[in-house]
Amino acid sequence: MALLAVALATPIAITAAGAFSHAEWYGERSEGAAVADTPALFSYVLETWGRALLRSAAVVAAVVPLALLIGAPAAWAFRRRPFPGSRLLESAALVPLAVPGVALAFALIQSAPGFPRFWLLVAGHLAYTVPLVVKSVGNAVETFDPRLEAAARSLGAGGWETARLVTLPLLLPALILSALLVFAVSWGEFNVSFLLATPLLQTFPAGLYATYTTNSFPVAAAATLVFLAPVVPALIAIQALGGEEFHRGLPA
Amino acid sequence: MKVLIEGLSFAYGREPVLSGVSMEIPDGGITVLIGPSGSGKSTLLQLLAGLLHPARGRILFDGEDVTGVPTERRDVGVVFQSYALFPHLSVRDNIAFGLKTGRRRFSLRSSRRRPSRHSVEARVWDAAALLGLERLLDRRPAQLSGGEQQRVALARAVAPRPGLLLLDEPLSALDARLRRSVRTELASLLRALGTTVFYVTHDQEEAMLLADHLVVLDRGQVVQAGPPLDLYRRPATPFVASFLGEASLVEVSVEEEGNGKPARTPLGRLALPEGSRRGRILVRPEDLTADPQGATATVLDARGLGPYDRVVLALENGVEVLAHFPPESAPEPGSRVRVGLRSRKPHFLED
Repeated sequence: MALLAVALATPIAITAAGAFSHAEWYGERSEGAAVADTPALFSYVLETWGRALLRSAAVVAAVVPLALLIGAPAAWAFRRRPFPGSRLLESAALVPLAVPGVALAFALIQSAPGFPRFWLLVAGHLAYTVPLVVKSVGNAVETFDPRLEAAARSLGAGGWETARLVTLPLLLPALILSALLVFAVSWGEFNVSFLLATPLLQTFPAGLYATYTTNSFPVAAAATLVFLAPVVPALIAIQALGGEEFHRGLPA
Repeated sequence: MKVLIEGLSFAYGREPVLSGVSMEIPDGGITVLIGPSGSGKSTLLQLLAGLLHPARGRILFDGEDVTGVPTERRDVGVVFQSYALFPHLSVRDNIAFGLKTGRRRFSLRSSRRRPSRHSVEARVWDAAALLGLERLLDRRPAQLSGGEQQRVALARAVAPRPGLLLLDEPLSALDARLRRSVRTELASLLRALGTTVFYVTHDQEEAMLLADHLVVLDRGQVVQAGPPLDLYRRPATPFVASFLGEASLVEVSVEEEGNGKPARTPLGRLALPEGSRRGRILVRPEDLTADPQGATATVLDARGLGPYDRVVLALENGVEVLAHFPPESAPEPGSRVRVGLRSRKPHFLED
């Protein structure tokens, strides 16, 4: 574990060091060498990739609720109302995880050429994130005691009341966990985003790639830190929420 | 509430669980359904609750057919075997749950309205007081002991004052010592409530202690129903005899026409019903006493259990019978004793 932590933390530390170093840096638009301070470096990054950053945020904002809306009811149906072939379908829902992003992106372009790129991008991200939701919400549904719903109904709660008062509060931890996972994956997704990108429609990871190929290390490092900024809290939250207590349900 | 069950059948897939069950749950009393595991007793309870739906048959609540009515609109309260307390709610909110739901808006009886906030609090308090939960109202179910959880489950079920209270082996999750003390409490509590109670158990002592009306279920069919002592003294089948307490069944065959004359049996001359030819007489352990004029028997095993001595006897024809002798009066194993029945007219099960 310790070794793994070191292996994961080292690149981040080096990147951080790079971003905050006062080495010379070259931007696409800078003419020749310039010595910069850290704030200038970050404002350069934000200026250059601001649009991509917003684009990424828009994609994530669409993907997170959609993935939950599609994945959670599907997970519920697979575990609670199994039908002939539901097992197979549930396994099939995981297949997109194994399809190379490149292939998926081409498939999306081919099958829906006139479709707005933004929504193609969202569709591509959904292919990778819905399986995660199905999996993690499915596990939560599995451990959820159906007698709690029976108890609610015996106490006079109808279908919606039972969902609102019992089922949703108890599945909320799993739903939040899924949302964070979806956020982390969608925010960092590169393959599909890169291929579906147009000059005006580029997500931040695709922008990062360009940074790596065209800019000097401090710029790339700073861009990476900007990219990591929302992911790290999300990952820490996922860790924190993975605890025993959380699985027993949140306070109402 | 008086409940009538008519020809109820239910199957899980192709596995029949209940086949043509008909029975009555008298108004205001405690009806106990007893049966071994797999007899279908929990299924019957779930059918009454509306959590399962029968393939055939009807359920009538006070004469009204509720077979197709969903659980939330039936006038029932359920205490589940595992309690099924809401883990995310406090004890207070668990008990209040049934007082805040929509049932009353859809209730068939217009007199039952959704109570105001004030009366919700009052009713929660009443139910909590009834079960001694006043000091636990702010706890979460996970912070309660098994016995406390059981009481919360009961408080939650009775708070909305259902016409029919269903309890599915409510004590089976408790350890043996606790179960003993809780069941006496539960008996007086359920009687104090005055609600019609349907109680499912596989525990014979629990059944005898609680039941006003006892129903024995075996392999999806009602075998016998009636007052508990009637069933104990006069079981209809060997199954009922051995399921309700300890029983030895001694085979007898009547050689000549009885015409009122006592028949010769391994336990001496006994009065058997007119015209009986072959059958078994029911011998409860407490029926046998030392009797100088009685039948001879060999003591196979004897052990003092405290309240009584448990003695296994072999009758002349080799049939084993179990007897309870007064404390410290058991004969030595291997010795021969003379025993007789307390009653000259034992219960006879005809073949």
